[in-house]
Amino acid sequence: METAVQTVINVVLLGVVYILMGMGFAFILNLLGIFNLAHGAIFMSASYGCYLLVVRLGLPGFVAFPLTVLVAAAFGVVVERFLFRPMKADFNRTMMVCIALSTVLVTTFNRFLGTKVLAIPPFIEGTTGIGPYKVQTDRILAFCIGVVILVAIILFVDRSRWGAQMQAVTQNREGAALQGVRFSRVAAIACAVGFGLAAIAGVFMGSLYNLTPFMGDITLIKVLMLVILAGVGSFNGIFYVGGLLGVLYGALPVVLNGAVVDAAASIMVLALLVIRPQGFFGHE
Amino acid sequence: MSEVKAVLAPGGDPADRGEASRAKPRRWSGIGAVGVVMIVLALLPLAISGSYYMHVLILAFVYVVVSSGFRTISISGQFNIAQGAFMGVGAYAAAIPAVWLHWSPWVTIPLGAVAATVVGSIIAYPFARLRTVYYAMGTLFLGYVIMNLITAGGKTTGMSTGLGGVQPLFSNRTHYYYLAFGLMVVSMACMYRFEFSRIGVRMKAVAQSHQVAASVGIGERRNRILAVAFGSFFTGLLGAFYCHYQGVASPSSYGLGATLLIIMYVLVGGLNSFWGPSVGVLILLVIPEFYFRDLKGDLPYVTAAILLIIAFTLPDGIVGLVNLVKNRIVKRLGRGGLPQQPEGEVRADAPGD
Repeated sequence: METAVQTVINVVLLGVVYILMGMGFAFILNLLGIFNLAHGAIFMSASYGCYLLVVRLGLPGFVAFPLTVLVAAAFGVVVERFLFRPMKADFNRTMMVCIALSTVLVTTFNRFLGTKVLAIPPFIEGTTGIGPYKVQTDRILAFCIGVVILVAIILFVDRSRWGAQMQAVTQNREGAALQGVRFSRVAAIACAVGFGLAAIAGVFMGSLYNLTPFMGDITLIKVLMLVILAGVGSFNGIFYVGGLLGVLYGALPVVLNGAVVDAAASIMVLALLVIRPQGFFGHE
Repeated sequence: MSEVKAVLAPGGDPADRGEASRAKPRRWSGIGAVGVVMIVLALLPLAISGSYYMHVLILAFVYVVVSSGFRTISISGQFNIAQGAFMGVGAYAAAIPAVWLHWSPWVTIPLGAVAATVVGSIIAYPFARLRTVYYAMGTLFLGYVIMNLITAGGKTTGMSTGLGGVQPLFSNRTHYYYLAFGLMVVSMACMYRFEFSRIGVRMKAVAQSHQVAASVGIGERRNRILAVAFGSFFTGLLGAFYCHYQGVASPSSYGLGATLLIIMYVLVGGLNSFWGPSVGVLILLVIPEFYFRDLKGDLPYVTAAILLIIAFTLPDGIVGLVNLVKNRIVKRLGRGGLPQQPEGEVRADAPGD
């Protein structure tokens, strides 16, 4: 039964990680038309960054976590302004920029911290009893933060002004511009939000599992799987499919071999590509 | 042919018609340059003794063909981020019969090429529906799936450690050198012929606008599948050779990292010209391994810097720069400029989606 509680928490945390990564990736893809290969590298850098802030600088987790996210968001604005915007969404050139960015980040962390086994220390020590079962307090905290962030994201996309502008640009760029939406600002916001969400996901992942410089690659592939399944241009789809992937990768490995789960999910996605290339929830 | 050319240059670019007559002297100088490079490469084993240099050159031959295969697929407008995995299909299709059934390498290497072609064509069918960024995303995922399925093969494929004990072809590295050289020359000749034939022009038409191409009877799906089949044949061939040369087929050589390296070679050299991938391999693989081996750890930074410089200033890569300089010189000499992109635009983001 203790496993069951742990599994539920793991499912939610993994689901949150995938949804956050998928949302950020989809923002950048839909608004800027850029296939952001560096998204996994940002995710990885954020979890290393948070580790460095907590362990090397001795900051408490409650300071380090928002700080990492803010730095990542600021980095997103810088990248949009100086790397993405001059490329004018030319596919080959943005590809070069993303590969260069990802190479630099992965090489740097691999070189200085790659060989060590690292993990972000828990923000709170100890365990809490849920009924008769004991669960790490840290996990419960992460669970609550995750749920809060998901709600905040839904509110941001559906209710806020910037969220509405982003949806408008996704639907029709010229039409949005005619209504007075300034594209460059929306693009900067999308990058900031995208990188910030990747950073949140990175810190979550770093507190669940050990850090490696290549954790971004595998997460990027999961994100692609998520975006393909959900369909491009669909924000709701990302929520449903992210939850599904959370169940798939959080719960099924308890009963099945991990490789089997992976292969099954991959074949599912390939089959979907054959039958319905626009995804479950996509239009296009 | 002429109708297709007119499709490629709507608005009737007058430079297009005059190109054939003006391009003639340039083509002869090109053949001369290729001939000189080939003679030098053929005689090189007499001059260099270190087997390390030989090893680097063999690797370079493999990657020249693999990244040219990437480019051959890309002339039909498909940015295929599963190129490393196609190489892996060739390698494993050669390694499995070689290790478990003790087949001769002379059978398994062509078998690898055929296997890569078959897998590539089957996969190309559903993927021909996807375009531009979505194609790139789909194939990145596909590469992961292929390698995942291969490593899930248990003892047969050696799981994630790879399949060792693939029997070697020769005991002498010079023989490998000449085999790799021969394979490269043949593959490059085939790909050159393919690209500058009627079929190649059709593919470029599909890449530029599948709707216009369809309106003159050039089917999109057929041509795109053909491009993948042709490109993956040579990719699989050299992948199979590579695993016999290394003696092991390991999944890490064919994963996302390997594919990104191939893409870097192509983009640095220039995606829009036939010799781009070769130049990219020369700059990013051969020169660093020959002259800058001591900065191995810093090499990715240099590569990233080169990529950024190219992204900002030379979207057509190093070959684009060479063409630009050549154009300037020709203009200065008063013979009139050559068209800046004589081989036609190849882009993944074709208009009209």
